[in-house]
Amino acid sequence: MATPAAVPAPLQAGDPDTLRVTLAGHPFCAGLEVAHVQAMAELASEHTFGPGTFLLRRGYAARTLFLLLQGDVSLEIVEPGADAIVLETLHEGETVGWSWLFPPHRWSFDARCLSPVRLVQLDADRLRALMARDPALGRDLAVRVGQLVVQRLQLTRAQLVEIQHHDRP
Amino acid sequence: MTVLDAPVEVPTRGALTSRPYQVSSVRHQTHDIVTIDVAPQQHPIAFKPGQFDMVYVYGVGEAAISISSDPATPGLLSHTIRAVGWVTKALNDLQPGTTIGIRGPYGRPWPLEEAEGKDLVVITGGIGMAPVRPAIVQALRHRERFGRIVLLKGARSPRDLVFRDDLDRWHADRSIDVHVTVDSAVRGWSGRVGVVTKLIPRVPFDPENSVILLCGPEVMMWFSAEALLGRGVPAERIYVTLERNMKCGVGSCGHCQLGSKFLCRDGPVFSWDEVAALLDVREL
Repeated sequence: MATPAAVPAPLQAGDPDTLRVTLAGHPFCAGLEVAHVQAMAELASEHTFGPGTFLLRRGYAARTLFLLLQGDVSLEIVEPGADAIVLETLHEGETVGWSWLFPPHRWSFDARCLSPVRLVQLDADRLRALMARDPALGRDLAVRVGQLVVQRLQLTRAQLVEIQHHDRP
Repeated sequence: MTVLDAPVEVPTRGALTSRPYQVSSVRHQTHDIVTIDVAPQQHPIAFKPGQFDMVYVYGVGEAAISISSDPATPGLLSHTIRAVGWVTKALNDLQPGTTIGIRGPYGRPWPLEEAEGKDLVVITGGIGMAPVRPAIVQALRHRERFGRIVLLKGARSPRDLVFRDDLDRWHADRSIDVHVTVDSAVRGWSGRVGVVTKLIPRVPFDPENSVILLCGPEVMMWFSAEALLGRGVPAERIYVTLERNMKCGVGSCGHCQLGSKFLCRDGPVFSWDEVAALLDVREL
C-alpha cells in the first residue's frame, strides 16, 4: 500500500535534551523515571503540521506514537461517498493512537489535524523493542496505554448513553 | 342561608390554579426544541433562576417546564421545551396568539449567592441549558461578584445546540469561558467532539473554591459529578437539577417522590451529597 503524501514524513532526529524536557512535561509521561524518559527521547522527534494534514490513515501500518503538544486533531472514520464521521477530537496533552502497541499494528481510524498542530512522534518499532529490553518501562507504558483505552472506553459508553438518551421521553 | 345560597368562591391565584397567558412568540431553537415566550403584563411572574412552571396546553395536559428567561425581566417569561411526550409535542406545535395556562414558579432555585466570591462552573447537556440560562444571565449582570464563570456545554450533535445566540455572544465578549462539545459530528464541524465530561479535568477553575451548576440527562450528571469529585470539588458544592415526574408542583401528589424527597417541592435543585445515593437505587 503506497503511503499517501498527507501522512507525516519518516521520523527525524531531534535534540534529545530538549525532547526529554518536552516529553517529561507531557501527561502521558508524567511520573516516568528520568532514565526512561531519556531513553524515549532518543526515539523521539518534534514536528508541526498544518490543518488538514492526516497524521494517520485507517489500515496503514501503525509505526508512531503521537503526543500532542498544541493544536486539535480529529479522529475520523469515512465510508466512500459519505461525509467523514468525527468520533472524537483530541487536544493538547492527549495521545493519538494506541494501535502501535497492539498487533497487527495497523491504524483503525483516520486522524486529521483541525488546526496547526505541534507534537512529538516516537518511533513505535524502536519503542516496542525498548519496552521488550526494559520490562519495567514496558510494564509502565503498557499500563499507561491501558489507562488511555479504559478512559476512552468509558467516555465512549457515556457518549452512547447520551446519544440514546436523546430519544427517550 | 343554606349551603347552596352561600357565595361561590372563585379560585384566583392558588398553587394549583393556572392563569391564562397568550403566547407572544415561538422561537425554534433546533428541529425539536422551541422557546415559547409569553408577556404577562397583567400578572408578571417573579422567579429565581432554576425554578419551574407547570405549563398547561388546554385539552392536552400539563408539564413541568423550567423557566429560561431573564429573571430581571418578569414581563417576558420564556420556557424552552423539547418535544418528547404528548404535552411537549403540543407545546412545540403552538402558534403565537394561542392561550396556554401557567402556574408557578415552583421549587428551590440555584444557589447563586453561595457562588459569589467563587468560580461559577456551569455544565449542561442537551436541553439542560434552559434551567441554567437564567442563572448565567443573572451572574453576568453582577459579573464582579464572581471569579471565573465557565460554561461547559454538551449536545448530541451541532444541530442540537440550543441558545446559539447566547453562546456566540458570551464567547465573543469573553464574559464567560465557553467550551462546547458534541457527541457526534461530520467533517465540517470545527469544534470539539466527545462527551462534556472529558472537558472537566482540563478547563481552568479552582475546584476548592467553586460552585457547580449541573443540568442534563441524569446519566450525564452522574458521569460529570464523578469527574468533578475526581478533580476535588466537594459534593456539597455540586448542584444538580432533577425534574422527574413532576405533576402537582407543590409536593402533594407524590408523583415525583425520590426516596424522602419530593423533587418539585424540595428541589428541583439539590446538592450532590443530598441525592447521589438516591440516584444509585435502581428501584427509585
